[in-house]
Amino acid sequence: MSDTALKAPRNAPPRTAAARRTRRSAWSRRRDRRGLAFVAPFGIAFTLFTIVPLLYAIYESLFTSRIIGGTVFSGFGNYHQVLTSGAFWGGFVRVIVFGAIQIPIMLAIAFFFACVFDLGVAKASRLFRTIFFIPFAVPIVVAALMWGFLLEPSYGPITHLANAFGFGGTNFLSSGLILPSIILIAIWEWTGYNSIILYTALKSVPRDVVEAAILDDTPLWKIILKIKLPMVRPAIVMLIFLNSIGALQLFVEPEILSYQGGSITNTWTPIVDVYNTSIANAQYNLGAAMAVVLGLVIIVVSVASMIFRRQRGELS
Amino acid sequence: MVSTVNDANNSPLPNEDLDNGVTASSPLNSAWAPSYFQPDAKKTMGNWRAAALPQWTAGASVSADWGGSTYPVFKQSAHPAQAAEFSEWLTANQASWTILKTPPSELFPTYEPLLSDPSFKSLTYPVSGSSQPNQVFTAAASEIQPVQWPPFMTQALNQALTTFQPVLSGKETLQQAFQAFQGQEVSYAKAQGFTVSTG
Amino acid sequence: MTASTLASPGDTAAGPPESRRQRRKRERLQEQAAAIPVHLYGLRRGTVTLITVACVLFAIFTLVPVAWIIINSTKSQTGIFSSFAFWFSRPFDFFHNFALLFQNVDGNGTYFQWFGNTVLYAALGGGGATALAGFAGYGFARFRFRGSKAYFYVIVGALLVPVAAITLPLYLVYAKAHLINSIWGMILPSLVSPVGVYLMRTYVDLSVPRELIDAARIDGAGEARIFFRVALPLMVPGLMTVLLLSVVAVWNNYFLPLIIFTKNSLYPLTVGIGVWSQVAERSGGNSDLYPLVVMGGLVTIVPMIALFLVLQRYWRGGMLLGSIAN
Repeated sequence: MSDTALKAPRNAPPRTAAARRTRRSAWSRRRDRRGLAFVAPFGIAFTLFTIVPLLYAIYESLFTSRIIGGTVFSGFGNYHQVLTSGAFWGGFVRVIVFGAIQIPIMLAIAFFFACVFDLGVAKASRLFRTIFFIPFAVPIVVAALMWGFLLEPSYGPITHLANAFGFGGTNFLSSGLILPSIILIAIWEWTGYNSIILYTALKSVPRDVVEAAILDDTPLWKIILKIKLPMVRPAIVMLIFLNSIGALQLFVEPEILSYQGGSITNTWTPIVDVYNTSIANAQYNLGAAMAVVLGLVIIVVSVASMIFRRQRGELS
Repeated sequence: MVSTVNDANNSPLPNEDLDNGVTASSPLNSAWAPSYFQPDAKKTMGNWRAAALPQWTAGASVSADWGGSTYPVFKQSAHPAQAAEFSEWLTANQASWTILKTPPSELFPTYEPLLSDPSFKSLTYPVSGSSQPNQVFTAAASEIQPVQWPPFMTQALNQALTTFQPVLSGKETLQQAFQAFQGQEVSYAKAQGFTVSTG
Repeated sequence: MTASTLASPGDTAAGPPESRRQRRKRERLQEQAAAIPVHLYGLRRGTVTLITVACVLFAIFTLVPVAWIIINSTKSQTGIFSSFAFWFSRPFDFFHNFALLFQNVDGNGTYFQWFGNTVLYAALGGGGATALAGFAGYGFARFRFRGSKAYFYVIVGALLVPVAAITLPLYLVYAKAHLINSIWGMILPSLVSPVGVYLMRTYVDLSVPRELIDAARIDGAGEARIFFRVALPLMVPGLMTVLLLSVVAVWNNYFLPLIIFTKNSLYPLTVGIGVWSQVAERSGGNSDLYPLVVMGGLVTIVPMIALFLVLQRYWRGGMLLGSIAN
């Protein structure tokens, strides 16, 4: 609705409520159909392929289907099993640890290079920007395969390198090092993309503000941390949010690396657990309950952080 | 789609390490393994010999299967009768094993009459020189106790992948892992509606 | 988002046709003019060198796997495992490996069939998602109808739902609706891009002036005509970004095709290569699939990198996400 349309009724002479209602509803009904026509194609696809499956997942999660005895209604039985499953929450803690380490490191590197590009300090900055963005074009399956080869314990060149530097017998895919290895892979995949987004955000910092700071002899690090960083804060918050949701759903990297007989258990992350429970173990009702629980946790955390930020006045 | 237990003994590099003498010179392996190792055995071609499995208890002769390929006929099959017939021909028939036991397959027969056939027992292979490895393997085959697969083998293999990991990393003994595996399989079977009797 | 980042793609569309080189030169000059000269920051020479070194190091980190996959695509299976990983070895098997991508190796599937499938899924799924997002974004940005706000929040809220919570029930529904092993089972869900709708709504808000639409209405143009003649040309840069993101999303999708396709003739690249790698790992040296996994990986990433280089002015000129968050 345009500003003028909003203001018109307020400026108009007082009318009876009924008259106003008919006028407004006639206006909005006419608009309704046109707006809906544009939204409808997406709306139909969204309903069929997001809303309906989601509701169906909730429905299925209330049943249990067995090889002997068929499908029976089990109420919250699956939820009870998920909520009391140490393995499921173990996977949950793992992806939280993964996100808590990977996201800050990645964003710090991404912000550093975004500033470098923004300042135009490095030579051939365009070339670097293009190179850093390449991993975004690499499907995660292929990225995981390449790094799987590089980190493989017996022939992987990075393992050879580690051995050459005195870390004999290093196994990057062992249970102790697999998480750091996947963090490394994720940093490789996503830093360039995040950096380009931050770079675009930095470009919108007004030039005169920076120029004034330079004239005041403000040191560069202060310009970056005290002027630029606060101004791209919304972009950083959004990236933290999107990356966190992605981290909680970590699946492809551990799944691909598990083919190498590494140390990925079948409950390694919540989605790995969902996949193995639903497909390999054929307990899709239980898998559906896991997916619903994961979704609820994401929603609760997101809404809570939004309320928290609104209270602190960061959101309008 | 579903991972099975990886046998680290058959990945390409270990084969080369074996050939170069880097890793143990007496791998525990299956009867069909030599034919897989043969293409990688360059320096050591002809030097290998088959020996019976070492035993936990002196004098025992315990042996086991290492494999699990099956040729089932699926419900959706367009020609179930023919498929079943072919599967039977392929696995339990003198004619098919005449083909399968020779290069390039060199598979170990599932057809019992062949196991006692002197001409099979006395076969020689390039990898093992003049020795007759099938003498050892056919003897071992006769010691194998029949086992039955559970009706949820996919789950069992997938679970084993996780349950036996602590053994590979040295955090658990094989016995501990088997005990855990037993518990997991019993509870899965019960959850699937089976009546489980132990003993 | 500032007016200048917004205006630059629009100007390009409106102005006289300019050659690629001219455009690059103009962009480079614009960028130089926009940046504050480095010396004003009072950076020491050593600091600048250090920063450049950091860039070089990160570039090396980025390129190591790419270099590895290029070098190893030329090797035989033995070469991959026993020769130095970052240099070439004999025999030079590049063309041999490439030719294998056209064959159904040991019944494990044909790479170029998967490539075709992926292009089809990405074109129909990503293209369709972009079209739907364009319509819906325009609808939400320029019309207010009953429940429009609520609908929009529901769509944005869908971003919070784990993909598995949607994919898994889809698989169950497909099993009943005979959509297992149907390409539509892959394409139709790919049409839904809540991010795309969100981005397009914001982009339309910023780049399609209401006055323009109102003027067209006064001239008596129908809503469809207004959309295609007035709004659409202004939406092109935004649509290109959404197209890029949607195509990448389909190209990357692993979970859905993994569970809905049981015939390897329908696999997209991700699942096909994943299965090859699984078979290769499981059967060790006997499958000879490792060179195919490597070559397949290389041929998978090359078109995507090429696509990004061709379309880079759209993500370079104003990566929507970054601009919108401001």
